Amino acid sequence: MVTVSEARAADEQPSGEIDRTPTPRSAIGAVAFAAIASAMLALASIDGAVLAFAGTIVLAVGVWLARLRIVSAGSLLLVGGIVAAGVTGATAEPLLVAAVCVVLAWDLAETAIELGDRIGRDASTARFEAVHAATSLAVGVGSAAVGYGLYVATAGGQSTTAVVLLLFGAVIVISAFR
Amino acid sequence: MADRSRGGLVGSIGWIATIGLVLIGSGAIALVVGEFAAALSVPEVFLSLVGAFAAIQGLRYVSAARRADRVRTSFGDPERRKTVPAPGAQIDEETASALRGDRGAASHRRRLRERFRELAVAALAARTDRDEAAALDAIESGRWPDDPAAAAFLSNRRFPIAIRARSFFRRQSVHALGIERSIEAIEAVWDDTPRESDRETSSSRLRSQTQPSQEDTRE
Amino acid sequence: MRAFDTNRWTGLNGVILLVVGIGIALRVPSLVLVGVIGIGYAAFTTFGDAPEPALEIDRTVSVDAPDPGEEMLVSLTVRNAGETWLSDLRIVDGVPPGLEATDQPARMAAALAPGEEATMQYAVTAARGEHTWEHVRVVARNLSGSRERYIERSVETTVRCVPTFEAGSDLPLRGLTTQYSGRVVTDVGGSGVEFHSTREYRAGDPVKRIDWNRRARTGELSTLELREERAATVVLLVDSRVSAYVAQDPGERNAVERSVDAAGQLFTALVGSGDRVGIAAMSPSDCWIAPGAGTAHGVRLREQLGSHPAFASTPSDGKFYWPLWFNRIRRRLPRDAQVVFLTPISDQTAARTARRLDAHGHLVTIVSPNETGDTSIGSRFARVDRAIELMRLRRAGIRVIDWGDEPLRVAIAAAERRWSR
Repeated sequence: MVTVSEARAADEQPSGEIDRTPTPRSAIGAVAFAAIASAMLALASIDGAVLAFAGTIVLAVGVWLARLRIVSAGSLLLVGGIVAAGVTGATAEPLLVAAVCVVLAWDLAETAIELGDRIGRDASTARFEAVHAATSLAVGVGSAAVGYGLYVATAGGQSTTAVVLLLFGAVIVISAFR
Repeated sequence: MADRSRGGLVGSIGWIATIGLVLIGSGAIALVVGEFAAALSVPEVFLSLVGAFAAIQGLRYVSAARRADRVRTSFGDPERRKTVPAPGAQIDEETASALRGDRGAASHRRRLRERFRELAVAALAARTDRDEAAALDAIESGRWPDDPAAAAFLSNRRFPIAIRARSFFRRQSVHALGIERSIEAIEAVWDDTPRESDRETSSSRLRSQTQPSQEDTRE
Repeated sequence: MRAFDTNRWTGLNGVILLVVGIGIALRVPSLVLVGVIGIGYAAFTTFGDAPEPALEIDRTVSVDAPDPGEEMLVSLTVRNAGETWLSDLRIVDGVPPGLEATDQPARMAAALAPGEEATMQYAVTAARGEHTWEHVRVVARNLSGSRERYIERSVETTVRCVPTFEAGSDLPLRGLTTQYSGRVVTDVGGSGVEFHSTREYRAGDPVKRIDWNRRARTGELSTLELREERAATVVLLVDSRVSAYVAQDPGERNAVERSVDAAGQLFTALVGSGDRVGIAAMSPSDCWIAPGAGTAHGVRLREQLGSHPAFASTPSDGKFYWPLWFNRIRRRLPRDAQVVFLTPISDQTAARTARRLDAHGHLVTIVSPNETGDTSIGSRFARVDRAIELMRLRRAGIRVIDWGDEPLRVAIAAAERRWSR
């Protein structure tokens, strides 16, 4: 009889419920990148920085609540900050850094939520997250380098048409391949 | 690699991508050869129009993306032990369907009423001096149980206006009330009738010590 | 499986167009420049399809034959055996349905270079039965996560957990078996315990039964005849149809697990007291061990109770046809066999089975784990329904042990007190 009651007691212990909240590393990384983006914009334009700061908070709330839609809304606010900064005459360099940071913030936030939901906060994900963040960062830095090169090359100003052609061509090609 | 029906660049990557590549190519040439850029240069107004068009398209894409569903494989929950239902889970499901208020609800209610009637008849026949026919008659005519909501549900009659009004104010379905009261009435007949026998079968889960019952003493 | 789009980056193109469009319309070159970064990421998302991972997967379990409740450590090692980088792998182990991972989820996310490997560890608590691991579920994505592919890999692992089924020495069995043809004390002389008569010695009589007192007195050889005790023949029948798998609390043990545990205790006690015991299951998977006695038989029963699929802690697949099953069990049951029927009485079929076995002349005793409660309308309904069914069975002369939360011993003792009145 003793065995029976023991088995019952063991089963009543809390079982292995998966903690599905976002993984902490990527979540913190996401908020950090959003904050860097806001700081960069603050160097260039107050209007942009205000929007971007709001975006950072929304994004942080979204990560906290594990709600992708809120994260996306925050990222759009951050993009709005970049646009506002650009329109109010910010220089190109901080905008470039901010843009890379915004994409990274969104990417990491999405990863944190998705990994937490599918794999769980407690599973071993550190290396995976590091590889993922590094790849995204490399893509961002690479694109920024290419973009900045183009920017400097066309700094003369007479070939806006050329840049527009290049960009539209790229957008169309990418859309076609998706 | 090329699509045999068309061949060439267009065949392999499609019209849209080809246009895109042509655009990129002319952009690159324009970047290097200033005269080409000058030849291509378009009026300022046209540039503004193109920009506005692109921005509007972008806005449309973004709002469309908000509605797009993410696609991913679900892993399920292999870590959890496969759970089994509680006794009566089927009745619970039936109750939920009966209260959903869609088109199938009425037939679920009918089935649920049948099950409740059977149980009520059995309980009445066991605990009162009615036989099964008399019990069924009492239920169908609404004479049993005393609670009007339960009687209305079990006899399939209109719920009294007072009960309808109260349910309305409590934002509760009259059927939910009827089902709830019905099980209460059946439990009352089964559990509270002062007869010693079978008491232990009804609630031994709650009490570990059992009582002697008349049925078993004759063995 | 084929790779598919995850829609992860959907909307990026829209944002690029928006930003670049504003940049062109308002003549802001820096915004056009920002668009270049977006295009970089957009190109990145089209880069590469979700790989078809070439994986070598190994699973080790710390204990092959654990005791119930013992913690087993499971470790799963995944090696990238292919030539390509697997930058985004999500791996979930197919923990057997009857087991539960206790502290950590059985999952990991990994990024593996060719030849590299990653290991995850998780603990499961052993439960009675034979448990086979299901497929390892793997999701592989490309670098950007825009494409995804799902694959399953099977890695054979099975553990068997056979409990010892300790019977409490105080399990009251008289109530269970002695009513009709039970362990009856007979008037036939033979081997036994109690003195019956003496007779003349015949060659071959056991030396132990020679009446040495008489030999000393008279010098004659004579043999003691002892009163023969006939053992009862008992078949423990466990209801393990899908409908018998019910539990008041989904986290707790279900009715079938309790029934099998009770069967284990009963058979240990019955074999211990010299009865002939067999087991059978009312289940989609056929299980029958004819009544027998002896240590070897006991071991066999224990093995079957511990690991036969009919006694698993989760329902077994397959259809159950009652008439076919009933004909088979009726032919198999020895004429004088008593049946101890372990069932939660979750439907009419269980009660009908008891009645029909009774009608065929077997003494039927129902041991019914009660899993009904009062948490929902359905469970309240089920409680009254079951109680009425038990009452009807009792009225039909079938003995019922209604087994609630108390130890089985207490439930049997209570029932026995009623019967002996």
